[in-house]
Amino acid sequence: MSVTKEKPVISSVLQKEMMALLSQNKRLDGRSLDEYRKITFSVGTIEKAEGSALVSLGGTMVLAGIKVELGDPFPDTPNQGVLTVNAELLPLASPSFEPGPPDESSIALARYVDRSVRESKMIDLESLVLVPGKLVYVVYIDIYVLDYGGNLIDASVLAAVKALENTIMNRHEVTGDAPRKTEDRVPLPLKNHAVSVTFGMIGSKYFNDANLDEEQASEGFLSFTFTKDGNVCAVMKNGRGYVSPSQVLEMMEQGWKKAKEIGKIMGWTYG
Amino acid sequence: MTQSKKPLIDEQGLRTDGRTIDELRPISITLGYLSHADGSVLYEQGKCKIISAVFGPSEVHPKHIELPDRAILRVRYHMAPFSTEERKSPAPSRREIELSMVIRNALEPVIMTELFPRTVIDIFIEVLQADGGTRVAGITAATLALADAGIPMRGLVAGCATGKVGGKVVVDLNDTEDKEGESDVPIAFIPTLNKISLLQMDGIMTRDEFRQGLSMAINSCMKIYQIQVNALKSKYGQVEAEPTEEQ
Amino acid sequence: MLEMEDKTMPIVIPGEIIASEGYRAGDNTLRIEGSIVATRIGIPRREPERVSVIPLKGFYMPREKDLVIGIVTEVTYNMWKLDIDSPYPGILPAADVFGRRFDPTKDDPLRKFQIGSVIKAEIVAFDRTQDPLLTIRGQDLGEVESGFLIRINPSKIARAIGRGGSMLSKIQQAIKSRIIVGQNGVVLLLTSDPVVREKAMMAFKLIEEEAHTYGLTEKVVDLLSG
Repeated sequence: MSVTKEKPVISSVLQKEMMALLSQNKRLDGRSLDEYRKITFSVGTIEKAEGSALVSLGGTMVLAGIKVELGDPFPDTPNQGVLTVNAELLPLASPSFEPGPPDESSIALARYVDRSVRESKMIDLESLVLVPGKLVYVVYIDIYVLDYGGNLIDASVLAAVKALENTIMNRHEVTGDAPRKTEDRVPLPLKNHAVSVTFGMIGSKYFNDANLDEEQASEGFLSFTFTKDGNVCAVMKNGRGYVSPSQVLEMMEQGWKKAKEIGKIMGWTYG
Repeated sequence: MTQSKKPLIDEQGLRTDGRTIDELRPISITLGYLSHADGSVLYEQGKCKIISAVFGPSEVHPKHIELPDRAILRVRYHMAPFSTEERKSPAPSRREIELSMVIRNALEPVIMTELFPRTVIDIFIEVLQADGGTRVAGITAATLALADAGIPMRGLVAGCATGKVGGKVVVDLNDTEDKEGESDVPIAFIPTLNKISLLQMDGIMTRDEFRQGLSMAINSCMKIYQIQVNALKSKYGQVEAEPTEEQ
Repeated sequence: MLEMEDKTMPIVIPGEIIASEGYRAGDNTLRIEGSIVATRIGIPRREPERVSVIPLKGFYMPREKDLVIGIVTEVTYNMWKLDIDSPYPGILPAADVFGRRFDPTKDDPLRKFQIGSVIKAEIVAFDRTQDPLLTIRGQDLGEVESGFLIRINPSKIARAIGRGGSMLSKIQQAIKSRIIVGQNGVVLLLTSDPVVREKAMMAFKLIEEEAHTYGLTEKVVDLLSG
């Protein structure tokens, strides 16, 4: 059951300022419409995880942890490893997050990160099989939102991909029926990367990397995930608003431009 | 997943169910299907069978979720356990939770909720049989149920999923095409406003293919919109003019 | 004034354009970029300066001065809450019934009306921030002790009453019983005869289904005398 929630209260004064600036293609914090806040990241902060990455995007901070374990394959893909993504909007990240099981926003976030990683085919799932149909590696991606300052989607996708890039797992051998952990440590081979670019929309204006105020004032959002060769592997419109078809295509092209810049910042060859 | 033995697109350019790349599945609409809901419809598209029902606007319980300036929407997208090849557990899955939200986001901009503050409009989408494209078929159905219930709307919303299947961009994917194809692009479009209120994509497409998919999706939504209009007009019919001497 | 000589008029659907510049947007319409569109399924009505839509299906939105018939669903220390077949419940304050000398420590609303009581009331006030306020101070208002309730679509009430009450009086004459029509679509039949009730229900059903046709009054009278 999805229920309309209250929109966060924004002072009318702030709203007016924001709209006036937007009509001149300017933003409250001085950024241009397509400008991202400073992106910083660090990897390997959680030693006990097979991989981890912490990404900061302005006032948003997301930690992605990767655990690789053994498990059963899905019945309809017996020759593939399993990828599963979960996201937690921790109550400590924002006064507006409440403790409890994942709500629709965190489920939508997790599923979008999942699609971005899975459909880009960056992980060769077929190389994660130990015993076809019986035993495979399960890659758990857990997105931990530590600080909510707008644009969780882009920060989470970046954190997940960086963490995967950083993942080193123990190889297992199967002797008889039992798997045995070897001392061999191998990286998770990545064949591609994924960068998502999200636009906030207010009226007829759209802008990248909404900060908290902009996110609360936005009527809708559009996210595109690009692989390193400029293909699209995930798209999601979020929020109550609507958008014209021509704007969707404009945003896609602008998104690809930004993806190339962001890829570079993350150390990936994009475009 | 049973791998289909037929190619997704054969040498004549026909799909697994014999359709051409821009052909929609047959659609059948029965308005006012339920007798207790304020508005309802039985909507069938190919093998998809969906019932959508609308109640409201009504008083909100619990009161604390009501909004002072508008009606809230409560949308439930749910698949019956027997709707899919393998039985699905009746408990709401993560997918159903996400889809309930994206469907609510697709309908909310057209429903004039500001006319009924402090009330709730309940929208149910029950998928009795699924065969690809249920979230967008659900939106098409819910729009009909909302109109049937007399809920004021800015326009009708029509939904359709296009995608890349067997290397070609096609419209209205069935279940096999959705599972085995290269990408799936569900969209919901409001023809009278020229706006998209639901857009998702998963799979992989070049940006050109996405552009093509978007344009084919909009054309298909226009066709589905026409079918919605015809269904509403023929159910409620032509009416004789208001008689002046008796009023 | 309707423009067409032709008696048939197609119904309009939400989002359909019914007029362009030069008209005011009336009930159940919306101005979108210069055109006026319908927001509900219904019959368009074009007057010299205004277009509106008469909805085929609707729910009752409270209006001040309307007579409504409701059922008590809740009783508190100082008011009764009524189901008036609307998205908003009607509120009848205890002070309206007990008068200014109403004392919550002495006067018990439960003694006057209980859950399930049927009340004829008038809407005193209604705005978007609070539920409709009712009064039973007025002629013919107050509790209904017996009779049958029939519910019809509120948008058909005007037709059920008829111009100057003509339809309603013809029905009352034919069934030899008094009928009170609430604007909220609730109709009270002051009879205890089940045969009369059957006839009245059929008559109202006919009105609901054919509210927009010519010759309806004759059809209804025929039905009731048969």
